[in-house]
Amino acid sequence: MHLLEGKGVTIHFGGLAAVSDVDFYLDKGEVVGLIGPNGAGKTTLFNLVSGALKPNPGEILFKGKKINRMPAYKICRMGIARTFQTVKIFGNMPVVDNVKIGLLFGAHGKIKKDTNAEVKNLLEFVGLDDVANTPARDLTLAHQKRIEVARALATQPEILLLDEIMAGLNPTELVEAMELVKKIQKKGVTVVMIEHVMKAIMGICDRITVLDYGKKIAEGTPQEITTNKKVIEVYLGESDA
Amino acid sequence: MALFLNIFIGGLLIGGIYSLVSMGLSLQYGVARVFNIAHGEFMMFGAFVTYWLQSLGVNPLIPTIVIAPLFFVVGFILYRTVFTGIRVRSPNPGVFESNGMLAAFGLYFIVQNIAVLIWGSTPYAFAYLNTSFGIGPSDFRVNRLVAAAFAVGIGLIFYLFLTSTRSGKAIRAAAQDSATAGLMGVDINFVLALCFGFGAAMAGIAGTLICICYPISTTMGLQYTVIATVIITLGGLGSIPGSFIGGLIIGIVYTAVNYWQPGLAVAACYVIFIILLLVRPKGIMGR
Amino acid sequence: MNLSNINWKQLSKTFAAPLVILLALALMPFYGWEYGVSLFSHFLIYIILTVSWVMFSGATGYISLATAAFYGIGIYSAALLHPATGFSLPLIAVIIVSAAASFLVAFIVGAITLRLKGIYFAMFTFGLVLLLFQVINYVETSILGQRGRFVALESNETIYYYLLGIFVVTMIVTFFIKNTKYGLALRSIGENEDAAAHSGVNVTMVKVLIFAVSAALMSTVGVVMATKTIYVDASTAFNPMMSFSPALMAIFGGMANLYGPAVGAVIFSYVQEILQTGNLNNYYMLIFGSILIATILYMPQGLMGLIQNLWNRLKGAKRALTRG
Repeated sequence: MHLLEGKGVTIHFGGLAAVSDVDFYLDKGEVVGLIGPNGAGKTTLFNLVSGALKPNPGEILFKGKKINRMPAYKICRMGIARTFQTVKIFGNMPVVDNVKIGLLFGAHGKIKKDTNAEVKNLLEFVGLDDVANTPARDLTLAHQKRIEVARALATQPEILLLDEIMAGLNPTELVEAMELVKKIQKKGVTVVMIEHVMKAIMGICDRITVLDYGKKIAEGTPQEITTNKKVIEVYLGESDA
Repeated sequence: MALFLNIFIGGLLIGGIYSLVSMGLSLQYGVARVFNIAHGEFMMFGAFVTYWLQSLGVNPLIPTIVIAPLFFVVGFILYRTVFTGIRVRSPNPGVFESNGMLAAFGLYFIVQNIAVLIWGSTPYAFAYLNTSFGIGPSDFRVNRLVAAAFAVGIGLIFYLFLTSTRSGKAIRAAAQDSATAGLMGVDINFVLALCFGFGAAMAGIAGTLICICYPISTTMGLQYTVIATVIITLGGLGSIPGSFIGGLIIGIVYTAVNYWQPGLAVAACYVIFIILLLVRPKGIMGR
Repeated sequence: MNLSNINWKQLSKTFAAPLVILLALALMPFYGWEYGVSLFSHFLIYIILTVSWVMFSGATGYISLATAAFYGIGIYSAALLHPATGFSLPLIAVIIVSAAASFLVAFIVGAITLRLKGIYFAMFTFGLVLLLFQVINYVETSILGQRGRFVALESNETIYYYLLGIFVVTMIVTFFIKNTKYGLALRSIGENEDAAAHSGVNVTMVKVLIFAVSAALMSTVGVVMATKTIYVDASTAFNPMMSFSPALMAIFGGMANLYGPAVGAVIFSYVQEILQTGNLNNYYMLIFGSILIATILYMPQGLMGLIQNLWNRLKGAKRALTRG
């Protein structure tokens, strides 16, 4: 049994199929990359898995249990956490409180220890311990993305969905972010990342899934993907990189 | 059959005025993003200005010539001062909407209480074209027909303005996406103020039309704001045809309930509002 | 419980001032200042309504205009269960029944409407006031054939102590919400609802529950106030001003800390009291509207926010001086 499995996942916006008949799976400990041109349905797929949207038709199983009709907060508590493409932080709250929310509500009793100590650990883990008491809105974009990662990790997830956490980062920040993902994997958390930064995807992912126009067009190891004819077509059709 | 006709045609006639009030609110909220709870107060003020002028011997339809530009200017200036100020200070559109609505509450208290201080809170009425005409077995007052025709005429003129002039197109662009319209070279602050001004002008004209058909009082405004809110929700925000059709529908519903049980007419509109928000918040003409 | 773990200094610092104020208020009727009792009752009404309003709307940013509806439910509970003649429940029982009824109404209304954003929620809640008014007015005039009801009067002192009791409960509830994880959740909802839901917060439940709790508190004020006026009817019970006032008072006072709403409530209710006794109610409303606009434009953090800013600047200046 896979940790997470999607069968024929589909959703329409108006007449347009944003995600259409996509099958996917996830095994424990993997880092999976989700790539594709803009508007391919990557974020929509995250929204479907995390419960922001409901597939119709299709089903999503987490540890064998159907989750595609569950509300977002329940899916989070079961162990699937996420970050957002456009950062959604609690701007007027200090960084600690942002993380605390995840711990108090997402982890929901999974942590019996001192929550303050746990928040501190997480902030150290993502490298934000020195700005713990700053209002979140005053941080740089790179740091705000890390708040989201820390908040997601605070919910004690088994699966972490990272939506473009590397977009818009400078080279130093990018290296740090890649380190962070590896560290998360070492913790035993399974990671799915949407990313346009190919260097990052090729460097960290065990497996890559490619979406185009809401359909899965390829899946495989980074090497397989770079030599896949369909993928090259899609990407060359879009950019000259 | 006579009853049905009475309600149906009577509803259409009052519905015309409702349409005009709603178009104004639709412009103010749908485009300028200010939910102007004082909209009905502008209408009430227009009605009282008309009443005052006709008591001096002026034909009650003449004041629209003064009221429309005057209310437009007041609305325009209000938007350029108060609401633009709030817009600039708001970190995001959501905050602007909330604060704009709260400021409109302030406006509501100011306008209403100025009116109460001038005219008190007793109802006023006068007779104008108070003869009747028959359609089949039913009788209607001429003044209602005149008012409805006037309202429809102004709605039509405005619709043509929106669809065929440059400013009208700018307004429609701003209604779709004000940020992008701004990038395309539309002077967004000007256009939004324009919409708010037009909204106020429509409220003023509607006031005149109400005044020639029904008794007026300084506390009547809020009821019309509530009805207009239901109508723009029904018709779809920012949609002029939507406001028009919604106005006619609510006019008929209001007249029907009012015939059966006068105390519950606004409650009936509110029930429609509830059902709408739950079933189709985008409205009948919404995208 | 291990007593040595409690930081007594911290605790006394937090609670000393409120306890002194409370004691002073509790002794009020013994000062022999008849007007003071009714004036402070007037303050307490608005403080309770404003603090209850802020409890939900201040934290989440959902502007509720249903205050008058819940206040009116309280008034009608008193009119039905505590009438001038016939069977009458003790006031405390009426308060409990009314709180439960308001909680229930708010829970249902909240469950259907709290997914609406922005002005729709505001209009919906405001419509609730008009709906209740029209329906009760209709039932009274057209079905029962009797408009309005008579309520058993209570003495000024009794009213005062009831209000003081409700005030204490309101403060405890506010304090509790602020200092537990639910307060944090409520704030996170105000900041970003999606993010809160995806962090494990049961957004709908938290919103609806707190909305219902604040509604229950609002209605208890209505119960007590009904016993001050012999006659109540739908138009006095469901007065839209009761919806607008708490919102303005909170905005004027500032919502950043607990005192802001209370300060706003006291200032405005005092002005209202003076102008109303002078029969200048329309001027009060005129001032009310002007100040509301001015506050939104020039004092978005409210009075307490302004004072805090000035204070911080003063402290900064002092520090700069001592350093230099």
